[in-house]
Amino acid sequence: MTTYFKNIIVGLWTVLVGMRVTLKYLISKPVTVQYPDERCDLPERFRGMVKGDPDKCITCMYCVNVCPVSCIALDGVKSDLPKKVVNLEGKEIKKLKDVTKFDIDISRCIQCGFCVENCPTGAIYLSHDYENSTCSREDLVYHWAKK
Amino acid sequence: MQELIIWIQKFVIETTGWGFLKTLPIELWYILFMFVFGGVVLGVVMFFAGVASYAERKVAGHIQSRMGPMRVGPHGLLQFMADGIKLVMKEDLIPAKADRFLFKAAPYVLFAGTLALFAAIPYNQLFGKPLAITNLNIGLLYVLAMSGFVVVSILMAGWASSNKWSLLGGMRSAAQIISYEVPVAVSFLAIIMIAGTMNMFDIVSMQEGGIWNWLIFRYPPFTCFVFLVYYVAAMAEVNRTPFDIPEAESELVAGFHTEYSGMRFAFFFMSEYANMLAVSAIATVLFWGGWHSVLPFSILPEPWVVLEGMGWFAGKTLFSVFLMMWLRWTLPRYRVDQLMKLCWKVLLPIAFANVIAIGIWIALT
Repeated sequence: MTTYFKNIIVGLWTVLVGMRVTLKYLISKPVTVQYPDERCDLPERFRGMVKGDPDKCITCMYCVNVCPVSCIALDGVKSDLPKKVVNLEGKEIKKLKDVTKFDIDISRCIQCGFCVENCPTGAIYLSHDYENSTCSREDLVYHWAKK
Repeated sequence: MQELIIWIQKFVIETTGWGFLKTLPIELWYILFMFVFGGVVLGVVMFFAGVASYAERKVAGHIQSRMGPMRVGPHGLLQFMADGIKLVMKEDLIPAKADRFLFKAAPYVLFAGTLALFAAIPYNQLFGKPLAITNLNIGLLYVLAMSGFVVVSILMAGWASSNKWSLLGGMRSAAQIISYEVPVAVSFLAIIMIAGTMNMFDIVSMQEGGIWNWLIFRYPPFTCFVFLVYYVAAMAEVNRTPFDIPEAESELVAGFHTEYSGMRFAFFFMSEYANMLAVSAIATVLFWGGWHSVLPFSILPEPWVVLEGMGWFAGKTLFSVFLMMWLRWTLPRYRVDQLMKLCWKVLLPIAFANVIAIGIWIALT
């Protein structure tokens, strides 16, 4: 009999406690924003769409080999006048090839960032773009090489 | 009622100067005003249902740290109109194996039963006369009967859909509403004992003169318990969360209205909100002093007292509606066995104990 009344009182009390919590949230500011009009600030290391920069790329094929889902296709031809590229450590390296094909299929990409970690020149990088919807699957393959 | 009709008849004839209206039989005036009052109540209830659906979504949103509807109109104020247009324009589907007549009839029976609830509730007083569609001397009994009537249409909908989820929802709803009718009736009994009448206007009239005269504070703490029992049982009766097992989304898709679409669904939807309003209005009338102010005197001078009463009644009722929404977004849903246990093992004994305690108190004083 004591547990019966205790249960009722505890039940009523917990309802009041819950109502206090929900009231607190009711009068506090919502955390969501009106998306297309306002946007949240992205964190610095946000992993958005992977983008390529054919000017920096030395066609070392590290990214192609390391990609777990094989979404990068890369090719180059020997350049007539070799250029120099500054790598991430500040040293200059020779760029012997011109990039002819630099395709990233973002429908396959899992944004793991392995390619970015392995790229010696920073030619492939994770951007802050996240609105990637298209009307066809072909449009999801981005061609970064210069025509 | 007759006086009111005659007064209106006289007023209309005097203002328009159409003497021939006097030749019309009084019965015709009755029928005319039946439609007028019905139309007014229908309009108010449908408008309320729309606004309440917007309010519910806003309350839900803000409790969950979201914003709720924001796009249609300023702060999404016109969202309910957009929803209404969408529902009207939707395709009206009837399952192939459904019992077509029952399937079509169920939403209208439900909505009619819900609207009928509003006929007996007094909203205000005008020169000492009740401002209600009808001032029934068995008002409480009528309210009880009409709120039990809803179960018929829910069973109809559940059965006619020829769908297992719907049938289960209808059965659960029948069990739930019939069970919770009992604590509601017993808590009404306590009110009838205190008031000595079933007339809702007289019940409100005896609560005049300040907050301490409201029935909820009349025999402390017993009437408070009676109110709690009524409120919990009433919430279960109108199938609100945490008692919404007849339409539990996670178990039964949408329960008895799974197969309904378009305007028929809208009727179920509106009658849920209309039921909320009715239950809140009854709580206001029985426990919170109806249109009487918190203070023992009225703030506004004599002819404006009516407006003040309107304000108090609307305020109390809408607060009660808000309370139901607040509870909905606070508590998780009950299981079927817990629901039955709560009704028969907790609410009903407490309600009976309160009736006995109040009876002894009344006998001693």
